[in-house]
Amino acid sequence: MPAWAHAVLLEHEPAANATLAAAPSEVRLRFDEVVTPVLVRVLDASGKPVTGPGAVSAIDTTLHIALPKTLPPGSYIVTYRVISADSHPVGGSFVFAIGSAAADASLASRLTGGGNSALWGIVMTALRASFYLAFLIAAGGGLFLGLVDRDGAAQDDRHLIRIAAIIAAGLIACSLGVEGTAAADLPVSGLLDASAWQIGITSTLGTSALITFLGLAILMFGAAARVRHARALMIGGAVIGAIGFAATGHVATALPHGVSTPVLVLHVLCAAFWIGALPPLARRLWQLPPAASASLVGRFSHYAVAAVILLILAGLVMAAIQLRTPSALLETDYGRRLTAKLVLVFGLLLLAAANKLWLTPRLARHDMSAAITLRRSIFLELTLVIGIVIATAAMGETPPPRALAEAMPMDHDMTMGEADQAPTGFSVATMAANRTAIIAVTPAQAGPNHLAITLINSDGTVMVSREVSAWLSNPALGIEAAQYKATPTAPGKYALAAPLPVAGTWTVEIDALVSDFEKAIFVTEIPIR
Amino acid sequence: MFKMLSLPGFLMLGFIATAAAQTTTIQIDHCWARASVTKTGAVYMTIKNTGNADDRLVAVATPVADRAQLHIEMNDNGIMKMRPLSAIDVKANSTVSLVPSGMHVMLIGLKRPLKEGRSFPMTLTFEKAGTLHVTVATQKAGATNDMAM
Repeated sequence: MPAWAHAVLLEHEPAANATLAAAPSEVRLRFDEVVTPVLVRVLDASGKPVTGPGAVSAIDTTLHIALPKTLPPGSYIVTYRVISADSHPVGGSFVFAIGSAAADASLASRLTGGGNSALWGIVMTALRASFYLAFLIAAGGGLFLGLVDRDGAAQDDRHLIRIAAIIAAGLIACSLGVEGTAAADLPVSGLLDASAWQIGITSTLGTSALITFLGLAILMFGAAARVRHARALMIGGAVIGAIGFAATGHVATALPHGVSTPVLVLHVLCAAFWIGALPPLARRLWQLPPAASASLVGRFSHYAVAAVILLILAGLVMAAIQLRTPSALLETDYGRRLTAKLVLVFGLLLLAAANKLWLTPRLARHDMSAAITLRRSIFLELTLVIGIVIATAAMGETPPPRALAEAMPMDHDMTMGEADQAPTGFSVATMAANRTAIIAVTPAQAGPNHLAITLINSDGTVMVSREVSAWLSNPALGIEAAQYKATPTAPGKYALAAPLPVAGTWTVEIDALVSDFEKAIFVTEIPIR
Repeated sequence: MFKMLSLPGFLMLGFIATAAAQTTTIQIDHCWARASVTKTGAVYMTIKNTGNADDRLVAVATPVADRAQLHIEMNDNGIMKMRPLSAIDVKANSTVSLVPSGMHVMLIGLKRPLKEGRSFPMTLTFEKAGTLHVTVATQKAGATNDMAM
């Protein structure tokens, strides 16, 4: 599974592929930040869990999994799924053994899962987009009534705000269950499982939802008829709701928090003001005589220009934080989604400019046809807004270049099936003609050994070869080279069992047949204790 | 007499020549780190072996972090994966570049954040060339190469 997100497993006990004489009392996983455990279990060689959900406790950045007192000898798989602060799930597994048997490293590769992640990605995007839209209409409507249309007699608008707020609250509640189900890698029926909801609630999305609920509740109260300080309540509710956005997601985890959090809140509020004002504005243009609508539109424009400028500035600051380089706009998934959003925003700006520079003056001259054109323009704007909201929601599903850059020195191979943990063997990177081979030998002690070979192209992608073999020799001891054929275990990965009967420095030559005409040869030395 | 002297002399010369041929000359260039965001950091550099014997980087240490490890990162069908290494080979007459998205030195448990513009010391231990002391210059958090290059 992708290991983009922030939480990184720094170390764990027992080590991967370790063989312990006796059963340990617990398994410890230490991460680089506090994580929410989702599904952390120890399975036996048949895949049966030997620990229940109650066995896991989180203390600071470490997860402790209590093991049963009597664990029979054999191989065990530790599998974990956690949610990091940016609300993305991170997972992995490793194998250890109790007793004299060697840890069966192939066990981890038998674990299946993650098949639903693409589906959940689409569901989350759709839920998030619908939530954004409902929230923008509710909060924006509140801001419009609070700031622009102060007469506040509009019963229909208040009604729309309340409905949108209820829908927004319902959607964010649904997304908690979906987040939990996706994170725990449960089937769709997991939505009926209380534990999936609990996972969603305890993640940062839960905190975000709580703040947003509070904001929406205040907003609804303010939008109810005959309430004192209704305008202040509506504005305050919108602000609190927007603060909820800053509690989770990519912007929430971007440093510095002192910049990213207020900028995001400002961005959400300005977007809400602009977009949420459209439905009541459209209705006014329908109902009011031209003179009254002209004064209202004039007042709206007054605020809208400021809101749009702030919206764009805040968006640019966030884009600069997340993208780091302009080229990332086209080169990364996140950047391309942002580019799509920017194109739609540009279209929306053009429409808004046409409204302001061309239609508003006509409206001021009591031109009836201008009101009709403006209404059409507002509906077109709403369509563009839906596109923008979908693009924004899609950005949440893919890691921004910033996270990729930060993750680089921290990410670990989360699928530690092979013997790649330093203490249990020896691994070396060796280059030949710009290609790199990683040769990992376990346990790197005299006797039977396991060789895992990973071949990488100069661009960092795995190099798939037709045939890979290893020549093992020990020139110092006069042991001539013997050839062993490697079997592919995954694209670009090969493994073989090799006897290295005596301690000393062994020469390993890896021959990889790239094509009928090309062979890559890597030569290195492996110390065997 | 001349002949008697010359034979060991030639042998000596030959021995010196052989010894010279077996030494590696390691040169480290563009040693830089990214400003750290968390308690982990990454150091990149260019390692040049101008000698004609193979060598390998086997250990790294720095006073600024609890541990320093050699790592390699790769793009495994779209998923970036990282794994620790015991050694990085630097073949005779070749250059190995430690760059973002490739091999690097990972610093675990930074005692203080790596700040842009500051530098810190690091020692690199090679199997044959022994220990080398280098100064690592810290660049921006998202830097993709040595800005001072």
